[in-house]
Amino acid sequence: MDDLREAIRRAADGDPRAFRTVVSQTSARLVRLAARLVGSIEDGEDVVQEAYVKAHRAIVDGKFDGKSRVETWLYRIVTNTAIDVLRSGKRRERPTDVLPDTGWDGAAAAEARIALAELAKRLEALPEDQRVAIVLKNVEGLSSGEVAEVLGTTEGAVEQRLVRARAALRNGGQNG
Amino acid sequence: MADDLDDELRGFAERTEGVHASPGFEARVLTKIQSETPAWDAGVLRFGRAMLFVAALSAVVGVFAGVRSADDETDASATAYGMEELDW
Repeated sequence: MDDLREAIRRAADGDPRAFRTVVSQTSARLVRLAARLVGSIEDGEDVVQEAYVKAHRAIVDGKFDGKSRVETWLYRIVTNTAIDVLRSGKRRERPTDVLPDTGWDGAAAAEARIALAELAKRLEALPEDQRVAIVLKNVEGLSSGEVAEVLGTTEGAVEQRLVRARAALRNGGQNG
Repeated sequence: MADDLDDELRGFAERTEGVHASPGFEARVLTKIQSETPAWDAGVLRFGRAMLFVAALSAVVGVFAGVRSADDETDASATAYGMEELDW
């Protein structure tokens, strides 16, 4: 992680190659997170690309204060960008019979796509804040403290969202 | 205290564990970022060039106006002389 901090420092100093290190070390986790939040790999890639552009701009403008871990900061940007996409309903239209080449095993890719779609369907009735909290905690496996840091809120607020989300999911997706 | 919901969510986590970006994703991201950065630089350059052009134009107009003003004074003097000559 020191590599990431150093890469961000160099990017802030104007080294154009430094951000490549940030992208190569974080893109796998961030695309998986975004795909889990928005329900597809393509929309997840769009979210992460937009998030990297925002992050790069913030680094160049000296707005990354270094208080959080770099990964937590990037998680926050991706999560906020995903929330914007979920709220706006901006998703890619794509025919179901033409799947883009993902470059990995066909069966595994197909299974992952089905799982992402099922996850999105299962969580679709939840408000975005609850949906994000449950994905970060129960699918990404973060602690409540880490979820609070990513969402910029308190652990208590996260717990409250999780209780509501879990109740709604047990109740067929309806918040009661 | 795990229950069916925990198991279901853990199942989603496992089934989506292998999700990763499509080939060329990193290159696309870096190209996008590069395309935005030079665009900004080019914008600054364009603005700077425009300001230089305006400054240069103002300077030329200023010099030209100064020359015209001096010419006008000369003409006026000449006319005055001319009239005085006619009076003679």
